[in-house]
Amino acid sequence: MSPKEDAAANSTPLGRTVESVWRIRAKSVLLGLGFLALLALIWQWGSWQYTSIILPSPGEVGQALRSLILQGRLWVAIAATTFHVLAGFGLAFAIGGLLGLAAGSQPWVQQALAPATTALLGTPPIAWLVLTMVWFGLGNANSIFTVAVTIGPVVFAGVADAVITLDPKLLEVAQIYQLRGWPLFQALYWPHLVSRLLPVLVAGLGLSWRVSVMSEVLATPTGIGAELNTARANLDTAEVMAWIVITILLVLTSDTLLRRLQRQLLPWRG
Amino acid sequence: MQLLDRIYHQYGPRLILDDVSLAVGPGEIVGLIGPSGCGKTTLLNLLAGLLSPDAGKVNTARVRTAYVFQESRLFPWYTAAENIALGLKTKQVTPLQRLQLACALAEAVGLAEAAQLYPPQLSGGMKQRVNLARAFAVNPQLLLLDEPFNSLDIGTRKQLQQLVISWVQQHQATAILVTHDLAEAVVMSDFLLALSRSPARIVYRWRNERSPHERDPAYVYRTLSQLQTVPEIAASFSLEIANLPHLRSFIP
Repeated sequence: MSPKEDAAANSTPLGRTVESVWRIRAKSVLLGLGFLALLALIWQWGSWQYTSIILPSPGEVGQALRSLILQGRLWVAIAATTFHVLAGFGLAFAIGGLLGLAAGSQPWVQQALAPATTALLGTPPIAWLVLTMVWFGLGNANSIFTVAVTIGPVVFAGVADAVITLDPKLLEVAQIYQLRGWPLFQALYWPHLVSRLLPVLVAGLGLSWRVSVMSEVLATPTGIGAELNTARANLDTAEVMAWIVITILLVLTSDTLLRRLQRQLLPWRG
Repeated sequence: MQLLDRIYHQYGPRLILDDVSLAVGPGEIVGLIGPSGCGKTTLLNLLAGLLSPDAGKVNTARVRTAYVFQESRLFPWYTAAENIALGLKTKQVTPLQRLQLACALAEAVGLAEAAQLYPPQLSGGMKQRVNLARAFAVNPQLLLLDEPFNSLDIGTRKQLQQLVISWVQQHQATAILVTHDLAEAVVMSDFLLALSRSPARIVYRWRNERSPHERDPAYVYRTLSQLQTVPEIAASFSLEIANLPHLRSFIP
């Protein structure tokens, strides 16, 4: 057999598919990075046209980012924002989840809560923020409450949907094979709930970061938003942009982690 | 074994089953035919304990029962092997033994390669194989089959029919097979019961004079044409056509 034929025999159809998948993925990553580089170039060019108060250069923003890390302010702010997000999100999950369970299993609860949920979903988070400033003054409670009240209806709808969409035919199968109690929960209820709720969790958490930062800008003395506001007051646009970059990285990180978790917990979703 | 004793069942005001009794022996397959919507599935659901009758007695509470549904009803978050092992979760079996048994069954139904795949990755035929293996796994005394081979190609269909026949014989179990396919009923069943239009009652009984391995194609075709002349059986199969006047011209 010539070396050429040998190589052809070794490259299985699967091997070739994997190779082409990698090629496609590498191409899309390169394209994305290329566009980002183009944006950075335009940014750099723009910064030459204006003063650094209007548009600081990428280098200046990098400097600002570096000093934030060195001063340790970065971690304090991230910790505060993370606290707001997790507390608000936890509250939303507890209350929205319980009500969602009730609404999913009892149609009258669903009917009773539907208009209120729609109203809550339609209320802009900023409106809640104005109210919380009156109710709680300036403090952590503003951000936590605003996150909770924005995410709560989303969680409620997600959980109610999860309960309603439980297939009665699968329940019959469970009944035939005499699954009750813990095995039934483990085999049917839990995987179903997880598969329905994880996408809600991913979307909800992304929204939580943005709502929390917004509320911190206006009504909370700690967190990334508060730092953003201080930097704005000092006309330190480079630092403002550094905080924006940090927020984007934070949202991306939490999103990536959750998606990875989702892939691991829901392998059958492919 | 008297499984059903003078059963009456209603959905609302409508009587579905009218005085139906059913006795079976071990190693037997009982075929059940009848017009669409006459209550065949209701009868299986009663046997499975998913429904309880309005009158009469169902004696399957102490019988190990498995149900092969028409649509495979697999748990989407379980692999084929895990689905097969579903009924073993409540048994005193270690997870390892469970997996070993599931893999052995997967091999027996021709799924050795696909045991670790998830339902969305399986073809219709493979799903029904899992469905069957899941039922076999609990070693049932009573196997309920609700048109299990409906949507399968002819090759897979024949394979799975033979699989059920030999399994029932080997384990001396009893199977109740609901089918729309008279040829399938002749190939598979030792007894054939025809139900009337709703309210369903048993209007015709037929005993297969040949044992499963003697039912060659010539015998099946001959029996098929004989059975089709029985008015009660013709009634269950011509109903849909008779109700569609534009199709009547196609009936010889």
